[in-house]
Amino acid sequence: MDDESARERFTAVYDACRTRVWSYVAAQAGGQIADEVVSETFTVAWRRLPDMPDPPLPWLLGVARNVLRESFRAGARRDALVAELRSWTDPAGTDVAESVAERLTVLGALATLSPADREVLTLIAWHGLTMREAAKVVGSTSGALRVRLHRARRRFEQALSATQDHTVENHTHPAGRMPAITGETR
Amino acid sequence: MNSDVMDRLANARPSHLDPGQLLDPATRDRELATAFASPRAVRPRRRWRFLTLAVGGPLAATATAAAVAIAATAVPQPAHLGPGHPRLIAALTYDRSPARSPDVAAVLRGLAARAAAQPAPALGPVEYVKAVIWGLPIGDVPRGLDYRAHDLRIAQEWRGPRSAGFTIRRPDGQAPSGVPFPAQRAPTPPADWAWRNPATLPSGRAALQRRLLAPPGSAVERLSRLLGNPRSYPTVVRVALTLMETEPLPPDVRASMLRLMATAMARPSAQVSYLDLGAVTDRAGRQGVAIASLSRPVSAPGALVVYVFDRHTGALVGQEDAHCRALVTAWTATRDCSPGDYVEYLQIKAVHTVPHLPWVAGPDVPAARPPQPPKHS
Repeated sequence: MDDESARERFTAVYDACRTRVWSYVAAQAGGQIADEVVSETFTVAWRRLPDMPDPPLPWLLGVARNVLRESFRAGARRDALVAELRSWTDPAGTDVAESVAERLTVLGALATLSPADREVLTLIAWHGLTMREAAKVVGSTSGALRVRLHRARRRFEQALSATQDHTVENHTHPAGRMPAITGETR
Repeated sequence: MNSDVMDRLANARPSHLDPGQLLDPATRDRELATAFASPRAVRPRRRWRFLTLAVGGPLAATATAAAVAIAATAVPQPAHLGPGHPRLIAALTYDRSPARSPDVAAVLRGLAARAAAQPAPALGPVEYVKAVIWGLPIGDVPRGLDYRAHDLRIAQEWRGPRSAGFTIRRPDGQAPSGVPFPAQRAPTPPADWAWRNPATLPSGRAALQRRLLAPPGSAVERLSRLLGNPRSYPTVVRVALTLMETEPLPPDVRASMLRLMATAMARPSAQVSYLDLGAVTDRAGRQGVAIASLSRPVSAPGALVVYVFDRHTGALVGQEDAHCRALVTAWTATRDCSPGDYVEYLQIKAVHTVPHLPWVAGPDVPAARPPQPPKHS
């Protein structure tokens, strides 16, 4: 592949996948460091263009996952994620709607899960990946991911039940609305 | 369980995470230009081989992480651990009694007094850090392995005025699975080499605080800027702890740093609260005193980071990250974190200086031949 063809292919992949990669990284570690991680991800992708499969998205998300872990230590990822999850449950943000209580409940419950559970749930529900694609992202088999998803959904349901009352109680107290974070992406 | 749960989750996605959002053209141009400026592999590599990457970027990005820039693996594989290694992670053990009044500032000031009385370490030319990371793989659970099985990694880093490098190995000498950069060398020092140089760190509290809050071109600076108020007291604490983890500090500087942290931790913060956890025994069996930082507001569950100090020298000797599912308060933090919720313990084994880099046959001078490109998977 000559350089011009490579650039064309890469640009097409970038245009098709960039926002999805950004969304994935932001959901895992916060929008505040997502730009930097995404830029490094596509730099790695350009270097590894001959290795890029089709479709490229799961592979790109896997690269982003590695870049995130390599570039930011646990404490930094956690701090960024705190800010991100705070933005999720901040009704003064861009998502003010009549369904804010439902969102607070759901996102509050999501925030209480482990990073691994949160990742597998959002890969499916927010990023629209199939089971096989999500398995590629996290470096596991489809069967293993299916089990992880099953367990994550069960824990999410339990967290939803536990969070419901807590969130409604705190709805009139913005300072108490931020769910505590269970940790950074690993 | 039903799909309604996933539907509710899908509907709750924050709008700024919508993958269909438009991309700023300036960002697009900048990121494409950045990518194209990088050399491209000309043909597919064998899958087991590492990918060539520039050393400077990854290493500079991990400069503040020092020897612990670990890419976590999702493969629980404790088989390489010998019989002497416990299969289950034992949590830090605390002897704090709820009857004692927590006072983080008093603890730190006490440590500062002891730190000030320590002999001065040798400084330069090459800094060396060795740490053991007691990790907790939480990725692929259903493999018949214990969820709490740990994964030991030994990380070493060398930083000289003209080059730097690090290695990450398992106790058996093998590269940890899932770690794409088990060894790296950079032909240049970290970007913040001058800023973090312990020989030039001031011992006066005001000057030291200014220095901590002004790291030039470092990952700390970028993150501080990104993570909100770069002048906040939690930032002082975070940066001070980073330097204590990675630098052989002169006693007066270490003491000043501990006093700065005491002042910062005593201030009310909307972001973080700090807990005095009292005497602890860490995973390596070492005695120490611990303080913890806890994300606010305190609610169930919480993220807890425990810092363990040598009670005799004031040196930071370990750091434990924990995820607590139980209600976390000043009293329950010491009791209600179940072992399965601990994530990682960083045991700082050595922070001192050495005469030369291990891959250079003398003082820290450029190698006789140009550094070879590193290889990555």
